Amino acid sequence: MQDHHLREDERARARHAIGRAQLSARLDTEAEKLNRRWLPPFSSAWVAAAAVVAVAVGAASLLPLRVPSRPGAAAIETGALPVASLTPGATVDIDVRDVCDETPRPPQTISIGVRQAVLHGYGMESVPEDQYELDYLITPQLGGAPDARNLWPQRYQARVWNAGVKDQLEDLLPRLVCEGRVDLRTAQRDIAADWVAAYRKYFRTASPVDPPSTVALLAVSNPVYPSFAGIDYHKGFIWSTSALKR
Amino acid sequence: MQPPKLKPALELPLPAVLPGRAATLQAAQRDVLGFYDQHAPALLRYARSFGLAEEAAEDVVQDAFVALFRHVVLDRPRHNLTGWLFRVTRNLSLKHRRRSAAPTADLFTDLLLERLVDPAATPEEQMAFDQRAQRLRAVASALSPRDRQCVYLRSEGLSYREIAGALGLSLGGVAKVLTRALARLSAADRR
Repeated sequence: MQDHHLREDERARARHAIGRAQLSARLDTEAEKLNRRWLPPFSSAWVAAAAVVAVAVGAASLLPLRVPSRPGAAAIETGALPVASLTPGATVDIDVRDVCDETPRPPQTISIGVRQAVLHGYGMESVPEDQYELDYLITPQLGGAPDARNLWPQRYQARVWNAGVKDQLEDLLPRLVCEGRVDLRTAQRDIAADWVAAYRKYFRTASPVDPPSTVALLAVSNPVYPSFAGIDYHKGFIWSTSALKR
Repeated sequence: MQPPKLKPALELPLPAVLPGRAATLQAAQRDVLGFYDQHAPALLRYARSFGLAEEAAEDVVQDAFVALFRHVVLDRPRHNLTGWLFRVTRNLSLKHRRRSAAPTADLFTDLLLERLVDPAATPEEQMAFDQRAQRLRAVASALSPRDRQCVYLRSEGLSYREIAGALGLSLGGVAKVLTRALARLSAADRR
């Protein structure tokens, strides 16, 4: 076993050395290339480059900006929502300042008694524990209490309206509260009443926001050195030409 | 409803304006190779986590360091270069995966489990290992891809600030995601 690890280490070191040598050679080439591409400021080449960019920006502005959404409402699977009579939601005393305080807080603990009471209520004592998580209906960040009335066993099997989707709502609502766009009590009430309906309301979509490639082409206004960038809403960067400004 | 918040763009410059000093280029080269020694193994693992083959991951990492070279030569901001490198590697990996019909499933769950669960020696340990791995896998698989990446990068030893830079999140956002994800994992592990 030890020999095996030693061989692995040697192999990794050899691969690293090869990679380093290749990178060193590429950096030499890159330095040469960058020098060749050097353009003095205000040369005719810059004017030509700016013209190309301007045309591209004009074309880009014609592209529609697609907001991620799917046609039609996604069905709500069994178990995606808690039983309202068992889990109406419960909160602790909290105000907007507490919601907006970004200091990491220690996770609240759920007592074994509370856990058992919740599982008993849902008749899920015998369901394997790796098939669900005990979820706060009103998230602690919005003041949700570690109380049996605010906890429910959310099943992982839900494919559409699952814990990951609820996490998106749990991330969005505190932000809206902090920006003063939603009242804290309204946010608590909406997520407690029907978190799927709340998701649809605040994300303005019938189905969970899927991260398809949603590209926006942005023009950055600078009449001397115009530049533009392609940005993918969900994956971040594609490219940018702002280096032309330098 | 506002559109989703745009993440900051990375900048891979086109025609570069260089100071034209050989010493600057040499210093940049030295810095970049130093970074390579420090971060290449972790970046290779990160690139492979997106489902890339070994060779493709090596190409992506090389490209990321060439981008770093341009970044340094252009005297761009140097704070949080580690986060920057991971972000470029992530973007290039996703781009590569989109272009080559590579498998779309990421391997973050598998890599996380390798770190969270000790290898087993005896049959009894093997059974405990399997049960523990199954529980943690269920929780890790249920995390959103972004949350899984946060936990993965934390397991690579990145600071909150570096993770924020790598994934384009706020510092508070990273803290929130990690607190929530780690609480779930530890709750599953205590069962």
